[in-house]
Amino acid sequence: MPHERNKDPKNISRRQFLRDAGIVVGGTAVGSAFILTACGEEKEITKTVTKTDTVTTTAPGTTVTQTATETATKYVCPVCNEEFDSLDELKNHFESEHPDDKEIKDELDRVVTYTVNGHQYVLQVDPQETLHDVLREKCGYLSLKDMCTGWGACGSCTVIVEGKPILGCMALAREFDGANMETSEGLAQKKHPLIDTYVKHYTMQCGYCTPGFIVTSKALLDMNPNPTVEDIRDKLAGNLCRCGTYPQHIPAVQEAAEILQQGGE
Amino acid sequence: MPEQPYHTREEFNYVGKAGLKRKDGLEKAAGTALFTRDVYLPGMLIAKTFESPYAHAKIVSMDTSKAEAYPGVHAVLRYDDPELAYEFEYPSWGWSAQYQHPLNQIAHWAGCPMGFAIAAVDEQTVDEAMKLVEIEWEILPFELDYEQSAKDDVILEAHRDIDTNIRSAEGVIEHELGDVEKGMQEADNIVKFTYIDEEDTWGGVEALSCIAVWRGDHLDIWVHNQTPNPAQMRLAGYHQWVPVGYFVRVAPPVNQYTLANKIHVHSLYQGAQFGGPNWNTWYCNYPLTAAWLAKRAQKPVKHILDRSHFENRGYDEAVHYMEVGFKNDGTITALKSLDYGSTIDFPFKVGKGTGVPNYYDTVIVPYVNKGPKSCYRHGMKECGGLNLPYSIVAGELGMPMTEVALKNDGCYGNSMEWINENVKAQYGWTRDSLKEVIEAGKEAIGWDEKWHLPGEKKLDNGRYHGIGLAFSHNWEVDPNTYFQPNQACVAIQRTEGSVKLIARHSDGGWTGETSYCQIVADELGAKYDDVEIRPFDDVKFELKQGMGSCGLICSSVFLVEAARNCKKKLLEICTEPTGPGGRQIFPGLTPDDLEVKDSVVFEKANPDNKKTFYEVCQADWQFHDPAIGWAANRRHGMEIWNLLRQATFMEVEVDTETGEVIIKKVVNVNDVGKCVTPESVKGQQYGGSYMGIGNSRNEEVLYDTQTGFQINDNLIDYKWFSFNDIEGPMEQIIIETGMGYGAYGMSGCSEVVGALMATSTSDAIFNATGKRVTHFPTTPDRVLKALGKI
Repeated sequence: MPHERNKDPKNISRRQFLRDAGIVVGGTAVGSAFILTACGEEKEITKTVTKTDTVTTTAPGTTVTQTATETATKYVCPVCNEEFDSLDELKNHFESEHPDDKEIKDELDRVVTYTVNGHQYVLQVDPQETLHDVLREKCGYLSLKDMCTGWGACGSCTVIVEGKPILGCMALAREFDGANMETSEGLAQKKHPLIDTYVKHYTMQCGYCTPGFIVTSKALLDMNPNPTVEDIRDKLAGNLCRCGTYPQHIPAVQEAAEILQQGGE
Repeated sequence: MPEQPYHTREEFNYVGKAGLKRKDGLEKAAGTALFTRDVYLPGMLIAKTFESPYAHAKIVSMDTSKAEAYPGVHAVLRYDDPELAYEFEYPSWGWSAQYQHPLNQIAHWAGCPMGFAIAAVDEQTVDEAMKLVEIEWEILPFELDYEQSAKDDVILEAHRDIDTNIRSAEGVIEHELGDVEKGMQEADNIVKFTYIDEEDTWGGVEALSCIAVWRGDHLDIWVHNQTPNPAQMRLAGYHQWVPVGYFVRVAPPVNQYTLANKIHVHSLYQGAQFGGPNWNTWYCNYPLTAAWLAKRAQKPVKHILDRSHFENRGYDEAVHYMEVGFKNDGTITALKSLDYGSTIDFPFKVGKGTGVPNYYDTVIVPYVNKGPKSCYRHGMKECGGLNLPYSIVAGELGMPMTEVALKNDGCYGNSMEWINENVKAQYGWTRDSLKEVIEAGKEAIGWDEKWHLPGEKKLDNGRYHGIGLAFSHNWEVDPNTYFQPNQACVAIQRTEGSVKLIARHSDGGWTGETSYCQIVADELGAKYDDVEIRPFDDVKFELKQGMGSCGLICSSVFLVEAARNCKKKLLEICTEPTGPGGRQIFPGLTPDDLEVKDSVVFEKANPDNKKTFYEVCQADWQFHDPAIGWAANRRHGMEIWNLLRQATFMEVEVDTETGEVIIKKVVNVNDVGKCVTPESVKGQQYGGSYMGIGNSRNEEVLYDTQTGFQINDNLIDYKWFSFNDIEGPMEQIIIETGMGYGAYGMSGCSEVVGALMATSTSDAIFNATGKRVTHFPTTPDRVLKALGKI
């Protein structure tokens, strides 16, 4: 979301102070450069490196040339331009080699990398931003809903982080640097059987809470491939549905479990 | 066989068939279904309306200059701005005076959106700017109790001009049937009791928002609203007269020269809409505020309200002083009630769904300093007014509730014998809905084995076992006298022969898209998969969405007609000599010679002579009209009788030490007339059960009586029922007697299910303990109080 800057230093809120310590740049999927601004300068701290290997095979009468291309993200020190394979390595380097550049360090500390549904993101997040806000507004994963508007009561913002379901509205975004995440959009993209079984069993009415239930169910099936009815009820008890679809989740989850056990995707 | 009121059909390929792929399923499961809250536009501002810090107070003066100058603020709208110089009148239930103005000068309840609204670059900037607004207040006394308000000497601000707190629009309403005093004299027994329903809240899951953007003199607006048409009319400032009297006085247009056809209302998926709150004034006010802010800022504006779960409360809150007269055989001779509450609806269920010949009801609707109220997927109050007297009669006589229900069945004070002879006979209807419903429910729950005299079955676990029943007539709205203009269009797409249902429809979560397409597919002879509706945009055709109740019943009638008209046109195209040289698609045949099935037109006498919709569309298409049919609802003045019955059977265990009531089994039996989408009906039965039991067992808005603020306005402290709150199994039974007034005799069910949970639980608690709880929700402390333990 765009922000206007308050340029009057005498009339500045805490939030604006925090924000204005560096320009917030929206998340960027790896592939385009992530630009960090500090000390009035813009610095690219990511770049994509393409490595091409060419193998030529010669046989009697023929010559075959095979080319393999790999891309990788490099993290670049904004002071000395040294390149690193990971953001952590860059941060460690900065702390040890440029300890006096506190403003840039502060900015770097706000940079996180996520892998969401297999896509990598480099993001700069505010200290108070929740995972829910960042995934929705910066990464565009609108399946994370906000039914209870930030009370941690409903489960509609559930996201799988490193295999565990967590409430996005109760999690600070900066705590999840480097994390691997899954949302309902990703499950649909991978054709996870829960998507089809939820549709088949009409396990939804208005649909607002449905992605949260599906993500929680996915985490359940990852941990317990053959859940009982009681297991399903217990694990989904933290998700609220005002339409009252609860009993319809049981056959949907059970059928998905059967498909997975039979080797289906 | 005499004609039934509305369309009949002998065979169905899709209507009533289970296992069809739900039209909105994939996007809802994948999380890609777009809700209003999910709309982000380039350059979009965020707006909020100020919320009152007092339960009742008036703005004496207000200085917004610092907020207007605050960096990032793009527009401020005040109660005294010229754009908002007009007041609106929204008569309804207990809250009309509270929202006469989009930005009222007077706060009528704590947290009331009022005074001013700010649009800025983000929510934090709005919050910061709001703190800079300086307001001088006149603090006014407030009242939270309806009965007390009616008797108060202190007249609340909104009603100073009429010198009473009793509302002017409906005020004191008296309903009368027969001669209630004579009925009481005929009774062998008279019992008086008090029935109290505390306030609950709607709790729609998607927090409110509205997005407005101007493009020249066209306004695009996205509303989280089940009734986009009234919002559109309100924005256009059109006068719209409706029988129940809302929108009686209207606003100036957002732009004096803006007509409704320059306002484009987009109605995306709706996160839990259950009817009434949609036509609450806030729903119509915030689009107006958003539109004005967007006009001032010349940018898109998203108006948000995060605490909207508690913005609309249920209209059931009331205290009823009731009196029932009955004979020793269980025949109820008279019913009398005095009610203080937020709605005038109370006696409707007694009138529509029983043969009780005499009743007299006085409903007093005073003004209080509580938030707006409306109906949402329930009608607990009316069903309580029907079922509690029945349950009490059964209890007094030691009879099962089932017998009292059957003995007093009827409609508008007429017995079933009279109904059979004078109403059903004209349509050839022979079925007895209540009898079928009760028999099916009794068998499913094991009533004959499990019913016992009250308080006589103590279980080994120390709890007391109970079984109960509540019933009602179906929710029925005459589709052709409905007050909203509705119309739909069915078109076969020339490019590919697929079928498009063209109409705006606001998704209420009951699979309307699926049911609509089933009906159109059957009537047109198309494949279900070939029929689509994408109902979000403003195409100036409306499916029924005036209030929320009975949507499919009303829409079904003109969907059938539109599809039949489309089929008629299709067959004309197939047989008219309009191709080059008078060529016909089906040479020498007439429409009567043809039939349509599975998106193929074929000759009845020679089915191999056939063409697909695509082939028909492609054949000489330049010379034919397109195959389009449309239909609209219209008035006919037919008298409506509520003949379908629906019931909930409840089995509980009561812990008399703690007051806890454990739900062991729920059986819902719903005569829906004709079932269109079985999974959807069962979903409504499940959903109504959870919401209704939550309403009647848990949900109660609690106030700080010193400040008038709600103290449980979040989903931690105000607890909805979740997965484990109903311990026992549920069984859903669908009965189809075809005696409804929608197409094929269909009728609604979801609101009935929710409404019946309270009194079926109460009846079961009485059967378990011999003590009656008539104060809802039936929290453990109220159970213990009934047991005399506290």
